[in-house]
Amino acid sequence: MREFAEIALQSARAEGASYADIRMIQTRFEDLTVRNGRLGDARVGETLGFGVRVIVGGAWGFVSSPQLTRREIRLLTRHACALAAASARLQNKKVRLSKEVVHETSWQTPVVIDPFSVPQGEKLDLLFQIDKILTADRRIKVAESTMGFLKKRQWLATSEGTWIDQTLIRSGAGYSATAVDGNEVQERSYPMSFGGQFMSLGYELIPALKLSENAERTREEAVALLSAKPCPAGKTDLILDGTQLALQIHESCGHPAELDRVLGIEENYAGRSFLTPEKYKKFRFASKAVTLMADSTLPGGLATFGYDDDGVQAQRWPIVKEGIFVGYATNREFAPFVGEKSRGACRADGWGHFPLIRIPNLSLVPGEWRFEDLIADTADGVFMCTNKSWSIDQMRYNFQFGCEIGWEIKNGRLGAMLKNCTYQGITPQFWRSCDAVCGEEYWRPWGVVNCGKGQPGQRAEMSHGAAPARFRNVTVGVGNK
Amino acid sequence: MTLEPEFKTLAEKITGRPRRGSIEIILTVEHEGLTRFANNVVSQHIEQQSRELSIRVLRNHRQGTASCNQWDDAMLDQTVRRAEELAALQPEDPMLLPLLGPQFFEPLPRLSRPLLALRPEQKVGAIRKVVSSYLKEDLSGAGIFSHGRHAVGLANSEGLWAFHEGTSSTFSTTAIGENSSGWAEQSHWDIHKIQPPTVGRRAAEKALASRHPKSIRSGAYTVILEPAAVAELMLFMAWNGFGALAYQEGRSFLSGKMGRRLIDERLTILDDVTHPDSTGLPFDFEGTARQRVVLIRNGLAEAVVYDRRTAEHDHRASTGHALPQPNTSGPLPMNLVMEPGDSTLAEMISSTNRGLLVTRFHYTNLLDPIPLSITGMTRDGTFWIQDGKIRHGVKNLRFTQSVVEAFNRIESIGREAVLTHPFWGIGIVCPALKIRDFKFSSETMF
Repeated sequence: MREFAEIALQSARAEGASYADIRMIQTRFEDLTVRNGRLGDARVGETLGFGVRVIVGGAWGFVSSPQLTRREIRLLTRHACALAAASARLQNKKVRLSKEVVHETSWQTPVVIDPFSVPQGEKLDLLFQIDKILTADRRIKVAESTMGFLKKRQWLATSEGTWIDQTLIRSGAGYSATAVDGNEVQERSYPMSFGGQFMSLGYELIPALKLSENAERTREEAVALLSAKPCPAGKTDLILDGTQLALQIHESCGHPAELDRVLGIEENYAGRSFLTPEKYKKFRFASKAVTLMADSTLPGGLATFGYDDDGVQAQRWPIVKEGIFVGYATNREFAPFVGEKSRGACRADGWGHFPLIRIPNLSLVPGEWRFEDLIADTADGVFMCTNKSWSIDQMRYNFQFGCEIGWEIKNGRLGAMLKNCTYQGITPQFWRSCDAVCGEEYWRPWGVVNCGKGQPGQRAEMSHGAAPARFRNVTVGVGNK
Repeated sequence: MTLEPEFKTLAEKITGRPRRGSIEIILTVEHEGLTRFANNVVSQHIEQQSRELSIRVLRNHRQGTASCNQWDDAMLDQTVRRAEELAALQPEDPMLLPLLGPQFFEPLPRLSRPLLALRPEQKVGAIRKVVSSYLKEDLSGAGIFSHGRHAVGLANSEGLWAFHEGTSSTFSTTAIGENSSGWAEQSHWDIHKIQPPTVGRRAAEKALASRHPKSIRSGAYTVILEPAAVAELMLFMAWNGFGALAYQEGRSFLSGKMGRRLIDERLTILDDVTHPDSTGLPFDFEGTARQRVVLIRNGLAEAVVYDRRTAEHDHRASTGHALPQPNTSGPLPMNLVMEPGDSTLAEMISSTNRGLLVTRFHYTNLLDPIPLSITGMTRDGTFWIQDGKIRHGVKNLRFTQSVVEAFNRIESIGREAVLTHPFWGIGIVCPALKIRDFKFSSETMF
């Protein structure tokens, strides 16, 4: 791999590049889904390829290819330089990267059991066993149980002398049951929606998720939702569970704190951000109860790594500290715009894509409340769990989320089950209304595996740790009678 | 040069191997060049190539799939072995269908010639012209200029061979003012149909016309939805209702309503790969020729699309809408078309006493599949219309609305159907729609 890297870096230098890097990545994957008693989907296999990034004349060029040969690397690196040279004709400021330490190192996700060492039959047996429990009620029309594993070995070489050999591993599993009766369609998932819980861990995660043990409850809740009361419309106090808070953090704090969005780079597609530089380190984003910590070193986090795709070492830093907006997610290109060095949040979707600023692991720091006390302290409200739908405007102000299930809170007690639960708010107003966060014993990092950004579209994964939290006087039941 | 001979050689190498059972391969190759700009300068300039070989093995009513992107003998052997191992581990599936033999496909010419004609300087030059016009108006521009080539080949041990290649190109831009923005996009398989200056001018006009937007309260308004906004609504019909699997499982807004009038009788929606703007494949991923299927005719629910498995369930033939097997989604329409009506956008505006003109929606998402309730935000050009004229821009609004209900309140249908790409997915050809009592549920800050 070092020889391939040297070809790219030498070719780039010969074409006048002031900076170049090459990422060569080999990925092995195994995604298995059992749906209604048969193999619903299966993706097993591997990919190999490289991406070369150069700066010529102060502008970027990027090429990628699955053909990892000397000739292809040489040809395409020259082409990347030609792309950059063309881009340099329409620039008003040269790209300058923040200074970074040169690293020559390796790093690997710590795992107990390599997921690819576990027989596929064992994995399928568990998925079919769960499927049997989920489909035991005829009102369940769709049962889907999923398991997914990824091992990615990445070699990064830069023209500054960095050489990083990094192996990232992640595992995950989950399931959903969809109940149908006439015009009612209700879904319940475990441990969370959209495929389940994923972490940068080995196969040891799977038994820890207690999948079979929760399948019957999940099925029964899906069926019970068919005849549950709709979430009432109006304003009330809202308690969110950790899985829903994970997406709330992601959409309303994670994306707005991406500095490339703030600077307008994503304007045409994903949009911009209200967290503009004049608000930096002054703006009250949330109440004092809220601290949101970015952490690329979080054990088990999906965005936990040794080094990002700029070769910057993993870091931990606050985005919101006791309610005040104090941090951006940055890369080497944009960090200087706020007078900083990179926070190491630059990641690409595999070898084929240009690295972008991506949301790091970003978590709500736990408070001190016991969940039982939080419910007891709430006179009138709704407790909502597990994301079902999400939508937010392109500046990240107005959001509306839907949850799979909810429960009334009346006089400090959980009451009737609620279906069609939604809530809506404006990001800073909502976070400022947070007055209670549960303690560490309720806190878990929840994985998001479908974060989309960029043109062409790229997918990234990250975790958001959260314990249940309360928000006062929130609009719920949007559109319900 | 066509990629077909290279594909055929590889296909013969795999399907001709000694084996037990049947084998299917799907080959995909993509080459995309994309120049991205923001703040009136080029921000990223990329060319990316990708390819995938997916191998499916069927034996004793079991199937397994595996994929790779390296085509040396060792990797091909390993990929076949992985597919065989996965197949061997499953319980028998008595409903598993055997592979199709040779099929006939009407070719669908979708290659813009000359292939990959755009040099990097040409794209940067086109962007420069657009952003120069923005600068004169004190606007900032962002967007993309992309072009690409893709090829899909499908072959199996029963003698099936299907191959299609096509091109794609898009110019998309947002013009940003101090407190407003405007967006426009043009997309086609034939790059000669892309006119960046025209697209840029449209985006700039919207940004200028929506300067100093005023707040309005959420509520029910008459709306004129431009094609990009209509496509966002139609996307959820495609994903959540027009496929046979959702229909059979009772999860579709069409379930139990086939043959009944569901939406306005002036609306006809079909899946039509032969539409001149379509970029789809003439066959599906089982090798069935893709048919033109009228899904809703004059407001009446008429059909859903099928793959072979869902077709067998309903004792009928596949319509050629299978995704790669196996999958959890079932068949889906990938080339949705709404037939145009007879109104111009100007007529729609001039006939509106009080209402809103919406350029596009952002981040739409499903709330409830049966009424097909969705929510989303307006974006990049939302205007107040009063007494038949556009009066001013308005701050963006969130809608929470049943699509079925909205398509029952049609006032008029645009006479021009345009290809657009919704935020989450496929290309959809549709006209503008004027709809009364469209429900906006909340406001935002800009």
